[in-house]
Amino acid sequence: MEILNQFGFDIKLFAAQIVNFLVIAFVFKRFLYKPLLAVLSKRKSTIKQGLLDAEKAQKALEEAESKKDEVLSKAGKEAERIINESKNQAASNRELMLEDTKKEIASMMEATKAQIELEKENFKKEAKNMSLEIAKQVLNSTLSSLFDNKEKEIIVKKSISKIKQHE
Amino acid sequence: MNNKDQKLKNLAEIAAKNDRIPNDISNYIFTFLSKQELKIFLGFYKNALDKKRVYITTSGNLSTESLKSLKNIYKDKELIIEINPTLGAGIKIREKDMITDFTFKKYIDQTIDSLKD
Repeated sequence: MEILNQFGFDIKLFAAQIVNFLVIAFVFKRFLYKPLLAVLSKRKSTIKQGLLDAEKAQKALEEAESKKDEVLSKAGKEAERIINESKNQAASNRELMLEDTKKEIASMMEATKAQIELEKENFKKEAKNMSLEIAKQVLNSTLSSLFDNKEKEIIVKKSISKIKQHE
Repeated sequence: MNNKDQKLKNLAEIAAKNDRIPNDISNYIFTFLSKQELKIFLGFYKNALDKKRVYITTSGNLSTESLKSLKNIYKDKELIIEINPTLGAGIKIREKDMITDFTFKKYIDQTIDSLKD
């Protein structure tokens, strides 16, 4: 104890300092340390949440990237499929149209042939009638000089005898 | 046929009995008949003439023998003879509405028509 006294140790001061320290420690713990811890804890959780959100966002971004590729790939395939289908459809339609057109042309050719035949027949008939009409006109124009008086008389007599028969 | 038409018919028959329409009838028709009635009268007059006439068309002059034969056939009729050289030969007779055609022209026309179509 004397040694402690020699070094200037005062038990009362020491006790007072301990009490003082305890009071300050209590006050610190009571009014400063807890709110500080709470703030720190809150900040920590905020940062943690931020990190988690960032991680989620990163994941979401990665997923979106992956989906984008998938969607693009799907769209490309779909587009290719549609194009192929359209090409096939167009080819098929073209074939059908060609077939229809061929049929139509054949039918038109047949109709035209029939029409030509008909017109040919009509023309023949018309030409025949025309030539007969011309022959008739030629004969009629030469009728007056075709018979002499004797022949005319014979024909008249024959005609009269026919009339008599009818009467 | 109404009364007026019957009168016109009688008048036309009386007029046709003569070679020419008598003067009193011609005066009457030109004075009292309308244009329409005149047409009707002329129709009746033509019919009345046709009843007593036979129209004969030949390509040349008829011989006396042929003419005699025809007069025998159409005893009570007046023969009106026309000459048409384009008939060729033969004879064509019109009695009222009936036509008897024995001409060569008719024969040719018939032959050619039968060759058509």
